[in-house]
Amino acid sequence: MSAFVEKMADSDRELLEEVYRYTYKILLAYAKDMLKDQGLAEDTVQEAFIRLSGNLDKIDSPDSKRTLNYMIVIVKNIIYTNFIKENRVEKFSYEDYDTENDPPSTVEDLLVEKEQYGMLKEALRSLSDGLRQPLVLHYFSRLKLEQIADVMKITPTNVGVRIYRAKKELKDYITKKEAAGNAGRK
Amino acid sequence: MQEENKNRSIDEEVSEVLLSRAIEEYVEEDCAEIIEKYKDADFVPSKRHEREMKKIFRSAGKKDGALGKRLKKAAILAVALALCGAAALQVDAVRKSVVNFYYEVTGQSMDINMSSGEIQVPEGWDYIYVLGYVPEGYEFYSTEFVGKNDYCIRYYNGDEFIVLRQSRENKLSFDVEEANIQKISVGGNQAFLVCKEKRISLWWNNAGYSFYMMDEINIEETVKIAEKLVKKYK
Repeated sequence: MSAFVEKMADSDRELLEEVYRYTYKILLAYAKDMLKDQGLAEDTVQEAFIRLSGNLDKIDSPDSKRTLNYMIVIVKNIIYTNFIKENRVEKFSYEDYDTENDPPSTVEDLLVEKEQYGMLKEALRSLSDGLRQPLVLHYFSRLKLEQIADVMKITPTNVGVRIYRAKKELKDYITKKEAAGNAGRK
Repeated sequence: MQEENKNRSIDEEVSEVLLSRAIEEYVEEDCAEIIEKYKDADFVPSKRHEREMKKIFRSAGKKDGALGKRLKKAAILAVALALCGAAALQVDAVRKSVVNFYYEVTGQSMDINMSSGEIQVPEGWDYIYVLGYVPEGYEFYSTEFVGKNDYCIRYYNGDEFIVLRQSRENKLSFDVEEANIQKISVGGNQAFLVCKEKRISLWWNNAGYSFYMMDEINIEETVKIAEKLVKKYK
Protein backbone atom coordinates (compact mmCIF):
# COMPACT_ATOMS: atom_id res chain seq x y z
CA MET A 1 0.00 0.00 0.00
CA SER A 2 1.42 3.36 -0.96
CA ALA A 3 2.43 6.00 1.57
CA PHE A 4 -0.42 8.16 0.37
CA VAL A 5 -3.01 5.51 1.15
CA GLU A 6 -1.47 4.88 4.55
CA LYS A 7 -1.61 8.58 5.27
CA MET A 8 -5.22 8.71 4.15
CA ALA A 9 -6.10 5.75 6.36
CA ASP A 10 -4.28 7.31 9.34
CA SER A 11 -6.08 10.58 8.95
CA ASP A 12 -9.44 8.78 8.71
CA ARG A 13 -8.68 6.92 11.94
CA GLU A 14 -7.57 10.09 13.73
CA LEU A 15 -10.64 11.97 12.59
CA LEU A 16 -12.92 9.19 13.77
CA GLU A 17 -11.18 9.08 17.16
CA GLU A 18 -11.42 12.83 17.57
CA VAL A 19 -15.13 12.85 16.75
CA TYR A 20 -15.61 10.07 19.27
CA ARG A 21 -13.70 11.91 22.00
CA TYR A 22 -15.81 14.98 21.43
CA THR A 23 -19.21 13.29 21.23
CA TYR A 24 -19.25 9.97 23.05
CA LYS A 25 -20.51 11.09 26.47
CA ILE A 26 -23.58 12.83 25.13
CA LEU A 27 -24.29 10.13 22.55
CA LEU A 28 -24.02 7.28 25.04
CA ALA A 29 -26.01 9.05 27.73
CA TYR A 30 -28.74 9.96 25.27
CA ALA A 31 -28.91 6.46 23.77
CA LYS A 32 -28.99 4.87 27.23
CA ASP A 33 -31.80 7.16 28.32
CA MET A 34 -33.79 6.32 25.22
CA LEU A 35 -33.15 2.58 25.28
CA LYS A 36 -32.89 2.06 29.06
CA ASP A 37 -30.05 -0.37 28.49
CA GLN A 38 -26.33 0.35 28.54
CA GLY A 39 -25.41 -2.53 26.24
CA LEU A 40 -27.90 -1.46 23.58
CA ALA A 41 -26.77 2.15 23.95
CA GLU A 42 -23.17 1.14 23.37
CA ASP A 43 -24.12 -1.00 20.38
CA THR A 44 -25.99 1.97 18.94
CA VAL A 45 -23.05 4.32 19.29
CA GLN A 46 -20.74 1.72 17.76
CA GLU A 47 -23.06 1.41 14.77
CA ALA A 48 -23.16 5.19 14.49
CA PHE A 49 -19.37 5.32 14.21
CA ILE A 50 -19.31 2.48 11.71
CA ARG A 51 -21.73 4.53 9.61
CA LEU A 52 -19.66 7.64 10.10
CA SER A 53 -16.51 5.87 8.94
CA GLY A 54 -18.14 5.55 5.51
CA ASN A 55 -19.14 9.21 5.44
CA LEU A 56 -16.16 11.03 6.84
CA ASP A 57 -16.31 13.53 4.01
CA LYS A 58 -19.42 14.95 5.69
CA ILE A 59 -17.36 16.05 8.70
CA ASP A 60 -15.89 19.53 8.48
CA SER A 61 -14.28 19.66 11.90
CA PRO A 62 -14.27 16.91 14.54
CA ASP A 63 -15.20 19.18 17.42
CA SER A 64 -17.74 21.44 15.77
CA LYS A 65 -21.32 21.75 16.92
CA ARG A 66 -22.47 20.61 13.52
CA THR A 67 -20.50 17.38 13.90
CA LEU A 68 -22.13 16.74 17.27
CA ASN A 69 -25.54 17.42 15.72
CA TYR A 70 -24.66 15.14 12.82
CA MET A 71 -23.81 12.32 15.23
CA ILE A 72 -26.97 12.87 17.28
CA VAL A 73 -28.99 12.60 14.07
CA ILE A 74 -27.28 9.30 13.24
CA VAL A 75 -27.87 7.90 16.73
CA LYS A 76 -31.51 8.99 16.67
CA ASN A 77 -31.90 7.35 13.30
CA ILE A 78 -30.40 4.07 14.49
CA ILE A 79 -32.63 4.05 17.57
CA TYR A 80 -35.61 4.75 15.37
CA THR A 81 -34.70 2.15 12.73
CA ASN A 82 -33.63 -0.62 15.09
CA PHE A 83 -35.83 -0.18 18.12
CA ILE A 84 -38.81 2.06 17.55
CA LYS A 85 -39.89 1.60 13.95
CA GLU A 86 -41.64 -1.74 14.36
CA ASN A 87 -43.82 -0.60 17.21
CA ARG A 88 -44.54 3.02 16.65
CA VAL A 89 -44.17 4.12 13.09
CA GLU A 90 -47.29 4.41 11.04
CA LYS A 91 -47.69 2.05 8.11
CA PHE A 92 -48.13 3.78 4.79
CA SER A 93 -50.33 2.56 2.04
CA TYR A 94 -48.53 3.13 -1.21
CA GLU A 95 -51.12 1.55 -3.47
CA ASP A 96 -53.49 4.50 -3.33
CA TYR A 97 -50.65 6.93 -3.74
CA ASP A 98 -51.10 8.96 -6.90
CA THR A 99 -48.62 11.75 -7.45
CA GLU A 100 -50.34 13.05 -10.55
CA ASN A 101 -53.54 13.99 -8.74
CA ASP A 102 -51.86 15.27 -5.62
CA PRO A 103 -50.86 18.90 -5.27
CA PRO A 104 -47.22 19.73 -5.99
CA SER A 105 -44.79 18.61 -3.34
CA THR A 106 -43.16 21.98 -2.89
CA VAL A 107 -44.32 24.59 -0.44
CA GLU A 108 -43.20 27.58 -2.45
CA ASP A 109 -46.45 29.46 -2.42
CA LEU A 110 -46.70 29.25 1.33
CA LEU A 111 -43.32 30.39 2.41
CA VAL A 112 -43.10 34.07 1.79
CA GLU A 113 -43.82 35.41 5.22
CA LYS A 114 -41.78 35.08 8.36
CA GLU A 115 -44.84 33.80 10.17
CA GLN A 116 -45.14 31.00 7.68
CA TYR A 117 -41.50 30.10 8.13
CA GLY A 118 -42.18 29.73 11.84
CA MET A 119 -45.12 27.53 10.96
CA LEU A 120 -42.88 25.40 8.80
CA LYS A 121 -40.62 24.70 11.76
CA GLU A 122 -43.65 23.94 13.86
CA ALA A 123 -44.93 21.64 11.12
CA LEU A 124 -41.59 19.81 11.08
CA ARG A 125 -42.03 19.02 14.75
CA SER A 126 -45.51 17.71 14.09
CA LEU A 127 -44.32 15.15 11.53
CA SER A 128 -44.04 11.52 12.54
CA ASP A 129 -40.52 10.11 12.85
CA GLY A 130 -41.11 7.98 9.78
CA LEU A 131 -41.59 11.07 7.65
CA ARG A 132 -39.23 13.46 9.40
CA GLN A 133 -36.21 11.13 9.41
CA PRO A 134 -35.82 10.97 5.61
CA LEU A 135 -36.19 14.76 5.37
CA VAL A 136 -33.51 15.33 8.00
CA LEU A 137 -31.18 12.77 6.47
CA HIS A 138 -31.68 14.33 3.05
CA TYR A 139 -31.55 18.03 3.88
CA PHE A 140 -29.33 18.04 6.97
CA SER A 141 -27.08 15.02 6.59
CA ARG A 142 -26.96 15.50 2.81
CA LEU A 143 -27.50 11.84 2.08
CA LYS A 144 -28.74 10.62 -1.27
CA LEU A 145 -31.96 8.63 -1.55
CA GLU A 146 -30.03 5.39 -1.91
CA GLN A 147 -27.99 6.13 1.22
CA ILE A 148 -31.11 7.00 3.20
CA ALA A 149 -32.72 3.78 2.01
CA ASP A 150 -29.69 1.92 3.25
CA VAL A 151 -29.65 3.43 6.73
CA MET A 152 -33.41 3.29 7.17
CA LYS A 153 -33.64 -0.21 5.75
CA ILE A 154 -36.32 0.73 3.23
CA THR A 155 -36.28 1.01 -0.56
CA PRO A 156 -35.14 4.18 -2.38
CA THR A 157 -38.65 4.48 -3.86
CA ASN A 158 -40.07 4.37 -0.37
CA VAL A 159 -37.66 7.13 0.67
CA GLY A 160 -38.83 9.28 -2.24
CA VAL A 161 -42.44 8.66 -1.34
CA ARG A 162 -41.84 9.54 2.29
CA ILE A 163 -40.08 12.79 1.40
CA TYR A 164 -42.95 13.67 -0.90
CA ARG A 165 -45.50 12.76 1.76
CA ALA A 166 -43.61 14.76 4.39
CA LYS A 167 -43.61 17.86 2.19
CA LYS A 168 -47.29 17.42 1.52
CA GLU A 169 -48.01 17.16 5.25
CA LEU A 170 -45.96 20.31 5.85
CA LYS A 171 -48.00 22.10 3.25
CA ASP A 172 -51.30 20.82 4.67
CA TYR A 173 -50.26 21.84 8.17
CA ILE A 174 -49.41 25.39 7.11
CA THR A 175 -52.55 25.69 5.00
CA LYS A 176 -54.74 24.61 7.92
CA LYS A 177 -52.98 26.97 10.32
CA GLU A 178 -53.34 29.83 7.89
CA ALA A 179 -57.02 29.12 7.34
CA ALA A 180 -57.56 29.01 11.10
CA GLY A 181 -55.64 32.29 11.49
CA ASN A 182 -57.68 34.00 8.79
CA ALA A 183 -60.95 32.78 10.30
CA GLY A 184 -59.86 34.11 13.67
CA ARG A 185 -59.09 37.54 12.23
CA LYS A 186 -62.50 37.86 10.48
CA MET B 1 -46.04 30.42 -20.33
CA GLN B 2 -42.26 30.26 -20.37
CA GLU B 3 -42.14 33.11 -17.85
CA GLU B 4 -44.61 31.25 -15.63
CA ASN B 5 -42.48 28.13 -15.72
CA LYS B 6 -39.38 30.17 -14.94
CA ASN B 7 -41.07 31.80 -11.96
CA ARG B 8 -42.33 28.47 -10.75
CA SER B 9 -38.87 26.99 -10.99
CA ILE B 10 -37.41 29.89 -8.96
CA ASP B 11 -40.22 29.52 -6.41
CA GLU B 12 -39.42 25.84 -6.09
CA GLU B 13 -35.75 26.59 -5.56
CA VAL B 14 -36.59 29.19 -2.93
CA SER B 15 -38.89 26.78 -1.12
CA GLU B 16 -36.20 24.10 -1.19
CA VAL B 17 -33.71 26.53 0.35
CA LEU B 18 -36.22 27.56 3.01
CA LEU B 19 -37.10 23.97 3.77
CA SER B 20 -33.43 23.10 4.02
CA ARG B 21 -32.87 26.04 6.39
CA ALA B 22 -35.88 25.15 8.49
CA ILE B 23 -34.63 21.58 8.82
CA GLU B 24 -31.16 22.81 9.79
CA GLU B 25 -32.73 24.99 12.47
CA TYR B 26 -35.04 22.21 13.59
CA VAL B 27 -32.06 19.85 14.00
CA GLU B 28 -30.08 22.52 15.84
CA GLU B 29 -32.89 23.20 18.27
CA ASP B 30 -33.62 19.53 18.74
CA CYS B 31 -29.95 18.69 19.31
CA ALA B 32 -29.49 21.69 21.60
CA GLU B 33 -32.10 20.20 23.93
CA ILE B 34 -30.33 16.85 23.90
CA ILE B 35 -26.92 18.43 24.45
CA GLU B 36 -28.22 20.55 27.32
CA LYS B 37 -29.85 17.53 28.93
CA TYR B 38 -26.89 15.17 28.64
CA LYS B 39 -23.82 17.40 28.65
CA ASP B 40 -23.04 16.65 32.28
CA ALA B 41 -24.09 13.01 32.20
CA ASP B 42 -21.63 10.74 33.89
CA PHE B 43 -21.56 7.79 31.55
CA VAL B 44 -18.79 5.25 31.99
CA PRO B 45 -18.45 3.04 28.90
CA SER B 46 -17.90 -0.66 29.48
CA LYS B 47 -14.59 -2.34 28.66
CA ARG B 48 -16.34 -4.27 25.91
CA HIS B 49 -17.47 -1.01 24.34
CA GLU B 50 -13.97 0.45 24.50
CA ARG B 51 -12.58 -2.65 22.81
CA GLU B 52 -15.24 -2.49 20.08
CA MET B 53 -14.58 1.19 19.48
CA LYS B 54 -10.87 0.54 19.12
CA LYS B 55 -11.67 -2.08 16.50
CA ILE B 56 -13.85 0.42 14.65
CA PHE B 57 -11.06 3.02 14.69
CA ARG B 58 -8.57 0.47 13.46
CA SER B 59 -10.87 -0.67 10.68
CA ALA B 60 -11.03 2.91 9.43
CA GLY B 61 -7.32 2.86 8.88
CA LYS B 62 -6.21 -0.70 8.49
CA LYS B 63 -5.94 -2.83 5.45
CA ASP B 64 -7.96 -5.64 7.03
CA GLY B 65 -10.77 -3.29 7.98
CA ALA B 66 -13.46 -1.57 5.95
CA LEU B 67 -10.95 0.39 3.90
CA GLY B 68 -8.89 -2.76 3.41
CA LYS B 69 -11.88 -4.70 2.18
CA ARG B 70 -12.64 -1.96 -0.31
CA LEU B 71 -9.06 -1.94 -1.46
CA LYS B 72 -8.91 -5.71 -1.82
CA LYS B 73 -12.06 -5.79 -3.89
CA ALA B 74 -10.73 -2.85 -5.85
CA ALA B 75 -7.59 -4.66 -6.73
CA ILE B 76 -9.61 -7.61 -8.00
CA LEU B 77 -11.86 -5.44 -10.12
CA ALA B 78 -8.96 -3.47 -11.48
CA VAL B 79 -7.10 -6.57 -12.52
CA ALA B 80 -10.28 -7.86 -14.10
CA LEU B 81 -10.60 -4.61 -16.00
CA ALA B 82 -6.99 -4.75 -17.01
CA LEU B 83 -7.62 -8.23 -18.38
CA CYS B 84 -10.52 -6.84 -20.40
CA GLY B 85 -8.39 -4.11 -21.84
CA ALA B 86 -5.35 -6.16 -22.61
CA ALA B 87 -7.02 -9.02 -24.36
CA ALA B 88 -10.15 -7.46 -25.73
CA LEU B 89 -9.57 -8.78 -29.19
CA GLN B 90 -11.51 -11.92 -28.49
CA VAL B 91 -14.69 -11.41 -26.61
CA ASP B 92 -15.12 -15.01 -25.51
CA ALA B 93 -11.54 -15.25 -24.35
CA VAL B 94 -11.86 -12.10 -22.29
CA ARG B 95 -15.11 -13.23 -20.73
CA LYS B 96 -13.60 -16.54 -19.79
CA SER B 97 -10.42 -14.98 -18.40
CA VAL B 98 -12.24 -12.46 -16.27
CA VAL B 99 -14.78 -14.90 -14.93
CA ASN B 100 -12.09 -17.46 -14.14
CA PHE B 101 -9.86 -14.88 -12.53
CA TYR B 102 -12.66 -13.40 -10.46
CA TYR B 103 -13.84 -16.84 -9.38
CA GLU B 104 -10.32 -17.93 -8.53
CA VAL B 105 -9.75 -14.92 -6.27
CA THR B 106 -13.14 -14.51 -4.67
CA GLY B 107 -14.76 -17.91 -4.96
CA GLN B 108 -17.86 -16.10 -6.23
CA SER B 109 -19.50 -16.28 -9.61
CA MET B 110 -19.66 -13.27 -11.87
CA ASP B 111 -21.94 -12.58 -14.83
CA ILE B 112 -20.41 -10.82 -17.76
CA ASN B 113 -22.23 -10.09 -20.96
CA MET B 114 -20.21 -8.56 -23.71
CA SER B 115 -21.33 -7.04 -26.94
CA SER B 116 -19.80 -4.89 -29.64
CA GLY B 117 -21.29 -2.59 -32.26
CA GLU B 118 -23.41 0.38 -31.29
CA ILE B 119 -23.57 1.56 -27.68
CA GLN B 120 -26.82 0.26 -26.26
CA VAL B 121 -28.58 1.39 -23.12
CA PRO B 122 -28.96 -1.87 -21.20
CA GLU B 123 -32.29 -3.37 -20.27
CA GLY B 124 -33.62 -1.88 -17.05
CA TRP B 125 -31.54 1.32 -17.33
CA ASP B 126 -33.10 4.61 -18.35
CA TYR B 127 -29.79 6.00 -19.51
CA ILE B 128 -26.08 5.48 -19.39
CA TYR B 129 -23.12 7.84 -19.51
CA VAL B 130 -20.89 7.83 -22.57
CA LEU B 131 -17.91 9.93 -23.55
CA GLY B 132 -18.91 13.38 -24.77
CA TYR B 133 -15.31 14.09 -25.64
CA VAL B 134 -13.49 11.30 -27.45
CA PRO B 135 -9.77 11.95 -27.94
CA GLU B 136 -8.54 11.90 -31.50
CA GLY B 137 -8.01 8.44 -32.92
CA TYR B 138 -10.28 6.68 -30.45
CA GLU B 139 -13.54 5.01 -31.43
CA PHE B 140 -16.21 3.15 -29.58
CA TYR B 141 -15.10 -0.46 -29.33
CA SER B 142 -17.40 -2.54 -27.13
CA THR B 143 -19.60 -2.71 -24.08
CA GLU B 144 -19.81 -5.14 -21.24
CA PHE B 145 -22.45 -5.69 -18.66
CA VAL B 146 -20.83 -6.86 -15.45
CA GLY B 147 -23.49 -8.14 -13.11
CA LYS B 148 -26.78 -6.23 -13.00
CA ASN B 149 -25.67 -2.73 -12.11
CA ASP B 150 -22.19 -2.27 -13.56
CA TYR B 151 -21.77 -1.27 -17.17
CA CYS B 152 -18.50 -0.94 -18.98
CA ILE B 153 -17.82 0.86 -22.26
CA ARG B 154 -14.51 0.68 -24.08
CA TYR B 155 -13.02 2.97 -26.70
CA TYR B 156 -9.97 1.89 -28.69
CA ASN B 157 -7.43 3.59 -30.91
CA GLY B 158 -5.89 0.43 -32.29
CA ASP B 159 -3.28 0.43 -29.59
CA GLU B 160 -4.76 1.52 -26.27
CA PHE B 161 -8.12 1.50 -24.56
CA ILE B 162 -10.18 4.02 -22.66
CA VAL B 163 -12.40 2.09 -20.28
CA LEU B 164 -15.38 3.81 -18.72
CA ARG B 165 -17.16 1.82 -16.12
CA GLN B 166 -20.30 3.02 -14.34
CA SER B 167 -22.14 1.50 -11.44
CA ARG B 168 -25.55 2.30 -10.08
CA GLU B 169 -24.59 0.80 -6.75
CA ASN B 170 -21.85 3.20 -5.69
CA LYS B 171 -19.49 0.29 -5.21
CA LEU B 172 -16.77 0.54 -7.82
CA SER B 173 -13.29 0.61 -6.44
CA PHE B 174 -9.80 1.02 -7.75
CA ASP B 175 -6.45 -0.62 -7.71
CA VAL B 176 -4.03 0.99 -5.26
CA GLU B 177 -1.25 -1.53 -5.06
CA GLU B 178 1.98 0.44 -5.47
CA ALA B 179 0.09 3.31 -7.03
CA ASN B 180 0.17 7.07 -6.52
CA ILE B 181 -3.18 8.41 -5.46
CA GLN B 182 -4.33 12.02 -5.49
CA LYS B 183 -7.60 13.60 -4.54
CA ILE B 184 -8.74 15.86 -7.35
CA SER B 185 -11.94 17.47 -8.57
CA VAL B 186 -13.92 16.23 -11.55
CA GLY B 187 -16.74 18.57 -12.46
CA GLY B 188 -16.95 19.71 -8.86
CA ASN B 189 -17.00 16.16 -7.47
CA GLN B 190 -14.19 14.72 -5.43
CA ALA B 191 -12.32 12.10 -7.39
CA PHE B 192 -9.39 9.80 -6.79
CA LEU B 193 -6.71 9.80 -9.42
CA VAL B 194 -4.65 6.65 -9.37
CA CYS B 195 -1.48 6.53 -11.45
CA LYS B 196 0.28 3.24 -11.81
CA GLU B 197 3.06 2.90 -14.34
CA LYS B 198 1.51 4.17 -17.59
CA ARG B 199 -2.04 3.52 -16.53
CA ILE B 200 -4.21 6.36 -15.24
CA SER B 201 -7.40 5.53 -13.36
CA LEU B 202 -9.99 7.90 -12.10
CA TRP B 203 -12.73 7.06 -9.61
CA TRP B 204 -15.57 9.37 -8.64
CA ASN B 205 -19.25 9.56 -7.77
CA ASN B 206 -21.88 11.74 -9.33
CA ALA B 207 -25.68 11.76 -9.30
CA GLY B 208 -25.97 8.35 -7.70
CA TYR B 209 -23.51 6.72 -10.09
CA SER B 210 -19.98 5.58 -9.44
CA PHE B 211 -17.53 5.95 -12.27
CA TYR B 212 -14.23 4.29 -12.97
CA MET B 213 -12.23 5.37 -15.95
CA MET B 214 -8.95 3.98 -17.09
CA ASP B 215 -6.67 4.92 -19.93
CA GLU B 216 -3.02 5.42 -20.78
CA ILE B 217 -3.23 8.95 -22.20
CA ASN B 218 -2.28 11.69 -19.69
CA ILE B 219 -3.84 13.15 -16.56
CA GLU B 220 -5.07 16.37 -18.15
CA GLU B 221 -6.76 14.55 -20.97
CA THR B 222 -8.21 11.93 -18.62
CA VAL B 223 -9.82 14.59 -16.44
CA LYS B 224 -11.11 16.38 -19.52
CA ILE B 225 -12.76 13.18 -20.74
CA ALA B 226 -14.28 12.55 -17.30
CA GLU B 227 -15.71 16.05 -17.09
CA LYS B 228 -17.40 15.77 -20.43
CA LEU B 229 -19.45 12.61 -19.99
CA VAL B 230 -22.91 12.82 -21.50
CA LYS B 231 -26.07 10.88 -20.89
CA LYS B 232 -27.33 8.55 -23.57
CA TYR B 233 -31.01 7.76 -23.23
CA LYS B 234 -32.92 4.80 -24.60
